[in-house]
Amino acid sequence: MQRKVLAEYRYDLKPIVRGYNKRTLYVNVGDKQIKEKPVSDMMIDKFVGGKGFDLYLMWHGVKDNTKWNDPENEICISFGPLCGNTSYPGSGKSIVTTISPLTGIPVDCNVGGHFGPYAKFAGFDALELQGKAEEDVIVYIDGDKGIVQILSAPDEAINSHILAEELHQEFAGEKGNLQHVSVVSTGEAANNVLITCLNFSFWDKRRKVARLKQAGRGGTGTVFRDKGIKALVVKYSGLKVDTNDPVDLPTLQKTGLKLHKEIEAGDDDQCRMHQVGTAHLMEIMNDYDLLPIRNFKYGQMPEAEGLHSREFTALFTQGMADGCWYGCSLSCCKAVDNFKPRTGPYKGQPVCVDGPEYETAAGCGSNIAIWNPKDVVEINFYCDTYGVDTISFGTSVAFAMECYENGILNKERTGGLDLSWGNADAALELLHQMARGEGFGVTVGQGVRRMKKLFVEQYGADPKFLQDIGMEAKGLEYSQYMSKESLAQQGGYTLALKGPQHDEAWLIFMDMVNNHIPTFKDKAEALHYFPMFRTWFGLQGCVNCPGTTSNQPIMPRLMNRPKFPNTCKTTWISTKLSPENPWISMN
Amino acid sequence: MKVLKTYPEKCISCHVCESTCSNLYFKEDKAELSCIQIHDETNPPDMNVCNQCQACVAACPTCAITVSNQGVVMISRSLCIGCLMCVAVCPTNSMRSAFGKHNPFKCIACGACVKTCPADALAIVQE
Ligand code: SF4
Ligand code: SF4
Ligand code: SF4
Repeated sequence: MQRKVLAEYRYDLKPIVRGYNKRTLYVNVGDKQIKEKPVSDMMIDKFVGGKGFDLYLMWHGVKDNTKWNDPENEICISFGPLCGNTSYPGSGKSIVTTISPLTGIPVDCNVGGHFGPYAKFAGFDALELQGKAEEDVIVYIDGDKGIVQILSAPDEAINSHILAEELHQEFAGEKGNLQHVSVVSTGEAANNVLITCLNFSFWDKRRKVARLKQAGRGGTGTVFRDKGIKALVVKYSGLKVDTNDPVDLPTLQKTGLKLHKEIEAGDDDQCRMHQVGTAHLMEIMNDYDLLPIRNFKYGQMPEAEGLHSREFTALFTQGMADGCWYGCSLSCCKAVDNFKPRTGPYKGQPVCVDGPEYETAAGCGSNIAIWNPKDVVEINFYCDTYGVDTISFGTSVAFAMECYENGILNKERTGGLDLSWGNADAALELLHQMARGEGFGVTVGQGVRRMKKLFVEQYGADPKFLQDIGMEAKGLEYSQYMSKESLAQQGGYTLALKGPQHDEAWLIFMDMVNNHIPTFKDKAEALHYFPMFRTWFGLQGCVNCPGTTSNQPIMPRLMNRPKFPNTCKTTWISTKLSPENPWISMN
Repeated sequence: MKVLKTYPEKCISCHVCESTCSNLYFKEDKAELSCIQIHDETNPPDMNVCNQCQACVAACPTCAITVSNQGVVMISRSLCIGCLMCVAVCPTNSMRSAFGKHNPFKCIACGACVKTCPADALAIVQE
């Protein structure tokens, strides 16, 4: 494809020193300004990196009255000093922040894929995007040559599973180097609705496809498209075990190998992250009355057997090195290969679907009473490629279905869609409508808070009832855990800065499955230390998972699962918990 | 498949094979840098070396480990990013790592140690 170079910036390539480049990249797609900004020692001391750098840059980049769709809103992507090391599982994360169209406040997402490590090794500790392009652009960072370009992007598809693949091919240059490229993109729905995400790619050499990991929450895709950005592309081909310049490589290798070995020895009997990823939580959540069913009304149903992790294990291709960054032996990013969607524009075409992970299986499965795993996979595929957040999609559709059940919605109001519980065809059609920018799908795609207002104003619905059943706080949809009986998780949800997402305080397992924090004091303490170390991961550029939860021999302890009868909620404690020795179970 | 076969009952624990291998590939005389390692706490000694089972091939995230036409499992240094996941999955602990070195290493059935072994305790065989 012939692209016009709209702006170009050349920079000096320098090796990383102890995880830092000590500079960030600023790109304004509106006035086409590209520059680097120095990273001061104060920034490193106080803000560390990752989410800290993102928020520091945003603090200086936006005003207190900046709206999500103002040109000055920023999308910041930062990588953290540990990001990109290849010796220790879970060290390849990017943290994305922006002012969210759903909440009007900053949202942050922790995402895998190769973009973060490559952009960091290309020479920057963070990337700051501002402005609005008149016509669609691609921002390209060539980390081998030291060039940043804003390129025209007139013709390509927008949907991620096609665009990411095309851009890997285009920017890899000579054949065989597809794995040295990574792409950030979204999809057509991000032109039309708010519950959107960004997809971060990595090239899967065995499957020969661009895999997609999602910066899911808060509508980042909508901001991206509002800025007229079609994709970010990075290329870097010099990766070695010491590219991140660790202080003590032998100790890092030794520690990483110890964890690899523990995972290898324990995972098959414990969380089965290798086999099924986070979807292993499905039956645990159902057994413990924590699986959201029918818009968070129930926590357990016999039908949930249909979404048991064994069903997903059977769909996922087994025996692959499924890490979203090199060196992650947890390898939880599973994929369904050669999946043929039965609906929509890609009907019948074999595609590779990333996931479903637990949140997707619960949100796009049990929470809307869909019990067929293949329907969940299809919703997952279209959410990803259209750039829709599976969590907000699940919770928003669940809300719409409950409104339908209660007569607030009917076929006339939904444009003919029968939103009865479990109607997978209708759920998929809502998604296709979001991508096409038409029909009731666009309404659902505004998220629960805006639907509530609309249904009260237009259909005279009882605001109190909608407030009761509409699972959002601060404008963001709840993620997929039943927190009714868990005071700790309720706190975890509603105290989370961005809105009710579980990543800051994922206490449901400690509180409800393992009963590790029975007293108010325990819960309060957990609400303090858990977000502290989760935030630490986001500053460093690590995953929020046990692989990097502590320097303890975590896996065998963390991943032990109780063997329990279906309805039993007995206490099960494998190790003593104290603030000095906090451990979480999984995620 | 070409593989280095060991005969522990013939091994006299002289460690010459270790010297040969580490000298050949690392120009150092160090047992930790040898692909074959002789542990003589037991009788007969434990002769630990790769049996070319290929378990490590699937574990490598960069596809740096491949199988040659002769069935020998090989690591591409240019593709390897040193994550050591292959070391963790090797069922016989024969994928080696030396902390501080960038890449793991393993027996490639070159046969150099066979020639220097004074006790005929090693052989290259086709299996
Ligand atoms: S190094 Fe280990 S896993 Fe790899 S082929 Fe040899 S014995 Fe098998
Ligand atoms: S250490 Fe090298 S050869 Fe071994 S799994 Fe990692 S990249 Fe592959
Ligand atoms: S056959 Fe070659 S590579 Fe294998 S142990 Fe002997 S000297 Fe080392």
